[in-house]
Amino acid sequence: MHPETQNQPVALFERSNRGSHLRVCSGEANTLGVRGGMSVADALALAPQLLLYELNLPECLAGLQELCIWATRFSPLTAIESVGPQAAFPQTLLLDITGCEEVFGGEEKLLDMAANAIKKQGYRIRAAIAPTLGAAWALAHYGPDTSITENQAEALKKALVQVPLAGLRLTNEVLADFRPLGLNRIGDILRQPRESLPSRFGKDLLQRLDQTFGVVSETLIPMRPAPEFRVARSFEYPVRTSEVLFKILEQMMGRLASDLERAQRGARHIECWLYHEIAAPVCVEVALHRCSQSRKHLWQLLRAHLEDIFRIPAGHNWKTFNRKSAHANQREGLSIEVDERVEAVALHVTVSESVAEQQLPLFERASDDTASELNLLLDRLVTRLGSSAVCRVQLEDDPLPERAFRLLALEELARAKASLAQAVQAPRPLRLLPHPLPVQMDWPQSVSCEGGPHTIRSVSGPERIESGWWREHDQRRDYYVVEVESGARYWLFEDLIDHRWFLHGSFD
Amino acid sequence: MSVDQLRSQICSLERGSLESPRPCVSSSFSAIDKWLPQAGFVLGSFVELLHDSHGVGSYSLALNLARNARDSKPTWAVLDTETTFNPPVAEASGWDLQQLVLIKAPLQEGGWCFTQLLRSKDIGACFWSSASMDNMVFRRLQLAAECGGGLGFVIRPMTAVRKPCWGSLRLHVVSCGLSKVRLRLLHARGQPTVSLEEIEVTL
Repeated sequence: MHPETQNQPVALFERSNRGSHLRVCSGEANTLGVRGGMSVADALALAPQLLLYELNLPECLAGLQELCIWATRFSPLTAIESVGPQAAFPQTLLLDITGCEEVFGGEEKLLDMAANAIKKQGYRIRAAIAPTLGAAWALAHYGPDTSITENQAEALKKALVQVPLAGLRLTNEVLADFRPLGLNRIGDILRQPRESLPSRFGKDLLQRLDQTFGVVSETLIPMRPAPEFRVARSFEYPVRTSEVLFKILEQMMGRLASDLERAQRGARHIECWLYHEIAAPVCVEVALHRCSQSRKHLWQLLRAHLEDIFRIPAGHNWKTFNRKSAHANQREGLSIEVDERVEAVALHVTVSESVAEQQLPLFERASDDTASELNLLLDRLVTRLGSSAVCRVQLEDDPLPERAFRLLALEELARAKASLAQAVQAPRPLRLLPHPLPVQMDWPQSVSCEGGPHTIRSVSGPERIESGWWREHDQRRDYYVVEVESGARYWLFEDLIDHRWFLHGSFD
Repeated sequence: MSVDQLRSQICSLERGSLESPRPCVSSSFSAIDKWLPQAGFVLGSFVELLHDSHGVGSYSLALNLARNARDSKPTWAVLDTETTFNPPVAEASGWDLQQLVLIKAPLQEGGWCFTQLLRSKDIGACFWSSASMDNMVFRRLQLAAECGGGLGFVIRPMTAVRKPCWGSLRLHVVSCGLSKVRLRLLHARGQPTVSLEEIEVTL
């Protein structure tokens, strides 16, 4: 929870073809009448002070996964809910604490410690302990603030009868069937003849009931931290030449690639550490936009980066080159004179991902090149510039020119949803300034922009562009294509709110 | 190789005609093709467009000139060191944004980035517009383009006319009305000293 949003009405929204709708709301937002599923426009009409953030599902999932790994200090078996309607947007951590309570002095103490530790990280949580996974889920989401630490059917039933049916982790379609019948709580269902339930409400209901009450077991699939891949080598005599060093690193990369392949994982980020006799260790980082376990690909990438770094830049002598030092205060590349002798090297995969099983080619390892030239180029660019610098474009259905497209980092592209962006009809400039520049306008005679006053030769327009009134900053602009005496054409607009003029682009 | 053979090869290179001709693509404008020794852009080269100011249509011209380079390699790239590239307009001009690799890099990395893009054998056309470019970079650009076999387009201000030209073609672009530009030929590799011919093309 961001400090700015504490005790504030906050909601996360999601864009879709039907517009922007809320996905998750804070308790404060709920008290103002804001609910999940509501459109952003309706929500802001109800609560103008609502703080809105766009939902970034991968980031949320990554955060939950980190928390799940962190929670192994309380139980060796931790997981994120991965079945049922909640699996698309998991918000629940599951811990199997069987046998762990003795370490923490009892189940209640364990629960308190875990809850407090998570709250200290800025999260708001509800937690519960129960004999079954389903019961714990129901109590944590909907139940009274209680835990069932005794493994007795009666205690379980007593705690769950008042829990709403949504606590059974049923789909919205199934839940909708109960409302007209006046069945709202788990207790209402328990009073119905069991044999009639499947035919009336489907098999899922019975399965969920049995799982919740321990009649059938439910498997928790624990999350394991990603395996580490590291290869290190130290030398009896320090290595002096880059050729020998590269040969050794290539062999080490081969071993690393084999380890990755055996584990069915690909590398996304690799660190190459060079340990010198005298100077501080140096780290060369390689980032990939897509995971890879190809020895050739990974080595080509690392080698290209090493060659760039070892290349002698103009103005330096043969001993001086840019490097990334291990010291925190030397994070940016510095030109430092160092001894080239390397006494040890290490390759460490800091980020890896599971790769889908791939069918081996008929002639196995004929080329050992599972990555195209383009992937190599993209990885080289990502390594040098960062993943946010290498983008793909997604058009957006937004009238404002600066919001008519989004830039997606390469790994986001696969998750990006198709947009209903409409083709540009009115003239648009190929050169669009990231922020409109104020200009001096003597309408319609002259305009001062791009290096000086220009006499206006011709004007076409206006084209009115307005943002939605629900946006935080209402925009209303009249755009004109202005041709000046030199023949250059600029895209200018008058802000209809304060009547100032701005340059937004030019027809390059 | 004998000294005579070597001398002959060097003379061919200086004339701009390589022993083993590379494939060519038309510029889409017959008047421009006439300026080019092989009646088209030799793949593995880059073109310089110089303008007096923004807004004259130089970038749009570059997109038009590069159309035929996409035939065998649909992937294209834009190096946007000024963060002003507007993709929807390129898409409206018939360029597939699904094939676009857009690089947002600081200016000091521009030379390295564009060299990498030109060197790639998977990229058919790449574009870079910048008010300032290190001229030392340009020699490497030509070598990179020859390696990659695509087409590169560099759009610069007219002040660069005093700097040496390493590309296969250098044009001065001036606007002469809506969607019309006047082009002045400043340099074409393989041509003798040009007479600064001018043509008008409609974009």
